[in-house]
Amino acid sequence: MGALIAQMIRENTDESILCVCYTNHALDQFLEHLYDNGETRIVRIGGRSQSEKLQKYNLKELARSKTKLSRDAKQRMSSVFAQLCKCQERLDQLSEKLKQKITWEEPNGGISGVLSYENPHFHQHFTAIEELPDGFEMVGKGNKKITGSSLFEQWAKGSNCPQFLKPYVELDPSLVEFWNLDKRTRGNMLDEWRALLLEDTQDSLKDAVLTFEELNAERQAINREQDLQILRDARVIGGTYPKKIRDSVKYYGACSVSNLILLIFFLGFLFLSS
Amino acid sequence: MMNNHRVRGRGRGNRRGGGQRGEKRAGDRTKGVFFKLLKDGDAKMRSKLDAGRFVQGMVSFSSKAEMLGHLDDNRYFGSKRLGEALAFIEDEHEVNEILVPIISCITDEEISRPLYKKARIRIIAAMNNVPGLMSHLSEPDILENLPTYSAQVVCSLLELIVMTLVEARSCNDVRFLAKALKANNVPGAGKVCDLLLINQDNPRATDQSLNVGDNRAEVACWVSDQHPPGGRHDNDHTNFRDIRIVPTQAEINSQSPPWLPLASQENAFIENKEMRMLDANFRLLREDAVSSMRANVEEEKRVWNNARILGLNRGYGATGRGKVQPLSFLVQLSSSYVKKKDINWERSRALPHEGIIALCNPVDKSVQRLGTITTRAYKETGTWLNDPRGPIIGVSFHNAEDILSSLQEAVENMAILARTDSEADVEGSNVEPWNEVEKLFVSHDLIEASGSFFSYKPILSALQEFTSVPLAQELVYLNPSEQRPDYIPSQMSMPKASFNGFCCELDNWSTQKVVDSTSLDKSQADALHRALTSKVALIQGPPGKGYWYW
Repeated sequence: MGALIAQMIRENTDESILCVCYTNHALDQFLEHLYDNGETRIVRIGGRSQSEKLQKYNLKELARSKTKLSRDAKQRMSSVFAQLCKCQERLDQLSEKLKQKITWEEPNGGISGVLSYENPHFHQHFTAIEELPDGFEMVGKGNKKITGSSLFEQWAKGSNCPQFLKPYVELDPSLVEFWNLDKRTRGNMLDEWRALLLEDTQDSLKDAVLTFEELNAERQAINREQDLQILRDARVIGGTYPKKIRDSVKYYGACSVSNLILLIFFLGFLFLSS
Repeated sequence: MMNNHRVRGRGRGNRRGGGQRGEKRAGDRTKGVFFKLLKDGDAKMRSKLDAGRFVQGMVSFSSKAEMLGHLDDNRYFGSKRLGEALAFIEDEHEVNEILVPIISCITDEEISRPLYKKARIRIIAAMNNVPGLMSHLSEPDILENLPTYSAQVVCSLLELIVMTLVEARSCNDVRFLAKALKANNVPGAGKVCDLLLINQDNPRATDQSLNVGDNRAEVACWVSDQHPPGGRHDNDHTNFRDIRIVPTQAEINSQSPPWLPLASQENAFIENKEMRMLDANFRLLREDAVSSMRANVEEEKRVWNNARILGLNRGYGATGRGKVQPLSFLVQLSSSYVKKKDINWERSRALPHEGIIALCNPVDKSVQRLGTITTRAYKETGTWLNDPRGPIIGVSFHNAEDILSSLQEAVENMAILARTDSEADVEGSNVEPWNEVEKLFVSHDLIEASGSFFSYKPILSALQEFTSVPLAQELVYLNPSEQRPDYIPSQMSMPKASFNGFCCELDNWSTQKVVDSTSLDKSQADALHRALTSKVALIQGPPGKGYWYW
């Protein structure tokens, strides 16, 4: 009866038919029947079709092969897409920055920058070494030049105060204390400075993330436009009842028959809107 | 500065209009004003006249989509100017001259397509955010003097606002305006009130308690809480359209049972039957999905320890047009799962793609965040699920707060990671074993809450978008028309192959004639007649009785 009624409606009117079946097999049979009777404006929603005849009428397949986005949709899409790419690049940059190893000078001026602002005393201690008055340079192990950066690395690693510095350090009790801190405390201080250093980056990352989400939603909406066009042009649309829901109805299954009919409409609406 | 701008604007208008008919030139000039106000941040909308010209400019676009594109362009000042224009509304004349044309533009058929959905929502939000506009419109002097047509247009704006903006539904000004419009018998206002669940005629919803006693008329197969919906947790709302589809953490953690509509309708609180039906369908279907999630979280069947957020997924938003992926985070599970060689990720059903996962506090087991698995890559060696430091999946979160707190966590964890890596770089330092480092991360218990929620999601959101029930006469009011539907002709011929093209006379039906001249039996012929002459027909029977094939 179902196939007969569909066939009669197809042959005698201009109406479109939406067919929702319980199983993929039944849907395939139904659509194949119409196909054999000469219907070519078929759209099958869902990828579980076993039928080879219907393969090219799958919504995804049609979307890939047949329709093109309308001109304005294309324009909007490329604009959204460009913004999205830009946003993505920015996200990459920002998250790279957050992952980056923090050094004396990098990024955003590094620890040196934070320290000069937060704790000028220690900052001066690290940099003083570079400005020896008489043009000499401090040279450490292996003839490496000692800079504020290398001194800081040593401190961060948890080493003790280097021998050559001891005379200077002992003049200032706060510096002695500074070099006597245990590794854990130094770690905590580093984390604190790091957080300060990356505050701005984090904020921009937050903004970028929210923009990205917004743009992505818009892109999704534009993609829907295409599916909608395909479904509008079709005469017979077939889909199945989502399997996962079928398996686990406890409350909903107890609704009345009219609700089930309604559900079919919802599915129809869904296909047309999404 | 200002003068310069103006001169330039005029000059351009002339150039463009040169050699063309007068009408076209006038159109161009209005557009000129529109563009000047739109693009120039320094330009000022000084008077009603300016506002009127701006609106005229909007109307003069033959393609409203183009207009929307300009208005929504974030380089320009569209929504700001719109707000300024709307702020000039004082009496009903200005409503007619400023508001009504704007609404007509916004509600134009052309821009109701999904393509323009986002842009339109932004414009509608901008209009809703004009301070005092809604309360001003509901003032009696304006409302009573408004021509019916204008009032109707205002109504259509209100419907759009109510359907697209969650915050507007609970806004008192909006609700008051809807009530006022309805009180003035504006066509369409009743619908807006129904959408807002304002039951003016029948205050029963608030007055009468919705107690469902023990003497229930019908036995329902589920139990409903007695308190009407709203206020149990942050996702329990009176209006089902306000409910976020993916449950919130507070909802999963909530101990109180939900309100559910009973089949007998004795606890109904919505007056409009169509809305009540949509509401019931939505809540029941959603409860089907959510109750199993709640159970999964409580039973802790599938728990993965030490799940930490390590950063943003670098592969997000793959370039293919079909592949639209939301922003996702990398979530790594404990390295102890790597040693278990028996997990075959390709065949395993664990952590399914698009499954919903809950991140729980490892101590008190409360749900902290819910997310969807967006990446489940098992083929790559050395990364993703096969990462030697612990399997990694891509998870996206659903609202801004969750995304931001995940980001915060990711930053903290990235710092720990960066520190351990830099310590490992330094020669000679003793590297801590990974299972020790792991303990430092901000981490959660990850519970698989649902593997099937994605198939509920689109249906639930479609239900929320309905403003009325299709075929309401038949399905809701049970009042089917006796007439043959107008889309079916009175004569229908049957397929040639099996029925020799027998012609059915629907208005002058004879079952006997059909049975005699076709292979259908009596019940089948009756069913055929019924199916073709009613808008809703249900044909049912046991298997193999020929209701599908003849």
